[in-house]
Amino acid sequence: MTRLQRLGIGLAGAWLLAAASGPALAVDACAVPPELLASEATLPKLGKRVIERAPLKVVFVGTSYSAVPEADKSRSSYVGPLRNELVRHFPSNPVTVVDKSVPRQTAVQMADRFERDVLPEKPHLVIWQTGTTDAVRQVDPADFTRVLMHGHKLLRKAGIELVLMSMQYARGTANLIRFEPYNDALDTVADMKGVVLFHRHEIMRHWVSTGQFEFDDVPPAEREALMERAHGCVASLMSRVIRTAAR
Amino acid sequence: MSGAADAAGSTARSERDLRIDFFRGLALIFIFIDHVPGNILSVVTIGSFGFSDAAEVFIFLSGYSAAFVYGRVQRARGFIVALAQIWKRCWQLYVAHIFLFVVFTAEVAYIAARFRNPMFAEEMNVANFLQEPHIAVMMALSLQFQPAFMDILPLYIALLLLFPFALWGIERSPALVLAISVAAYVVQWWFNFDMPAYPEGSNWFFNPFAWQLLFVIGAVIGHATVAGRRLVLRGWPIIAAAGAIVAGSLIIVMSWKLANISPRVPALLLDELWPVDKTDLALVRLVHFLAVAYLVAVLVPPEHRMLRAPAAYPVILCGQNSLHIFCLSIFLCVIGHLAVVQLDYAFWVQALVNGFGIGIMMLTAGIILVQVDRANGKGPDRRVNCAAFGRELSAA
Repeated sequence: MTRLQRLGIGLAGAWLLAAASGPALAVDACAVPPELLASEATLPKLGKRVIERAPLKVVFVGTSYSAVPEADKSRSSYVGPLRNELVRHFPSNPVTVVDKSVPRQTAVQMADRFERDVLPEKPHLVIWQTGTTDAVRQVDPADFTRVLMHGHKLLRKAGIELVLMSMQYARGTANLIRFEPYNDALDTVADMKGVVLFHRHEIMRHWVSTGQFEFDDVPPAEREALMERAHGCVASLMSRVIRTAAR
Repeated sequence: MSGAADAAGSTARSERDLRIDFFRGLALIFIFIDHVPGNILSVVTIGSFGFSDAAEVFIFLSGYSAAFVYGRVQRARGFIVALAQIWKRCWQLYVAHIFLFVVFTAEVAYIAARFRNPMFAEEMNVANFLQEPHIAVMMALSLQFQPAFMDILPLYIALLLLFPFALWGIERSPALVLAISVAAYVVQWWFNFDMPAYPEGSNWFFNPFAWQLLFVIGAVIGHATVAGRRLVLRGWPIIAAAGAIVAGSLIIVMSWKLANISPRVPALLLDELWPVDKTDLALVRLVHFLAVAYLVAVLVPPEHRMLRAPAAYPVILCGQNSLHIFCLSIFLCVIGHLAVVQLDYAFWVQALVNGFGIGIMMLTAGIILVQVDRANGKGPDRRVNCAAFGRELSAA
């Protein structure tokens, strides 16, 4: 049974549970079954810094639309909301979040930038959101896997902890793009190397299947509000995963 | 190739090795199952039991039967006739490829026009080719544009395009052709050579320089059958070695799956073997497949009872008409994928997609058979088979 199938069964169970317990669960628009946020891996160094009330520096590497002009940033990405979440939950630690995203980059192109863009920042945590462009361009999944391991090794050598983040999900895009091999690769690398993986793909799929979010037929006037709401949820769940792993 | 059967008439079909048709039909059904996202049935396909999957079975058996059928044509009627018949098949595949491109383009254009969600700007780069149709269409026509589900047909087309020359060589010196094929595999592996595709920066999903080896191995064995030579050595040491490879692969792959579920299970040899590269036909995939194929060839005799069972007949029919059924199955994959995603991977949708998809493949194979029968006049042995097929259908 593949991961996806297990998740399918899990999600079916969660759906039954949600249906049985009625509106109680529907209060939190971001809610997902706990197994989607669970991770065996931890972030011990970050946890130690949290306790020591030391500054926390997070570098975000991705393809999100965050590399747009400064003025639009807050609304078009979850990086801003994530920073706010971390600041709120780690009140004793000065938090800095640096966004090093470049749109349309594959995992290889991002890993190539680690040396130049990421390491000089001396972050304590790197959030690496990847797989979208690789899936769009149908990069060899084996090559994708190898570069994930290479990127992880680069960061580990520099003593930097890593959180991986998978691709987005909407029915429209899932019809056109084969995400499965890249999702499996992220999953296996996370398992193998003990890296925390934020299952954004499955989380969004859960939202779509329960009707918490609808990404496909959105009237133009509602698109921006939807984006803000979804990014807010991603940021809040992401911060929860980081907090749990840094315990 | 199935089509050659209609060219060569009914005698060719009755002499066919039913194992080839059966396992080829099974591979087609497995390929369909594996392409429906999150499909629960994929736990029973060959990919769940070792490193190789149905793609290897299909390419190997395609090479085998191409050599088996066109090898005879080449012996009886010469190189030019064989070349003409092979390229006719090639042309049909090419037309199917263009048809699928049109289907894909319609799907992308429709979704891109409706789905204007700024959150997914990165993902919608998949529709960029719509901005430059003058280039995209050219790239599809020249097999360089291979969007989702359109990756295995170009490989098959490329292999068949060059196959007449390989067959000419195999007739004279199978060892030399095999040596060239192995050399090409080693060179692509050594220099990490890929076949570039569109858009820029992407590659063919099935690297033809790697996958040709499997097709050629199949062809050399298939041709040996035509020439009346027996290539497959028998003997307990070889059977034991192949069995050990298959069993070892099963244990390793199972440990990976279990490790994914429970952290207490160690993932054996994961660091050494992962990722098992499909694009470049990793050596473990090749070795695993050859071991499986050897065991099946030795342990399942051509006259095995299983192959005469009514339940096997629809599968055999699919294998005998593999070209049509293959193209049809890719189209059904696209439709099935759409249904599964739109209805959120619900179990009943998967069951319906599996049932309808496989049913339509078998039914189409049956219709082709009836149509070929009408054209050729009926043979009594096949009427028996038709009756069996009818019983099977009414039982289902």
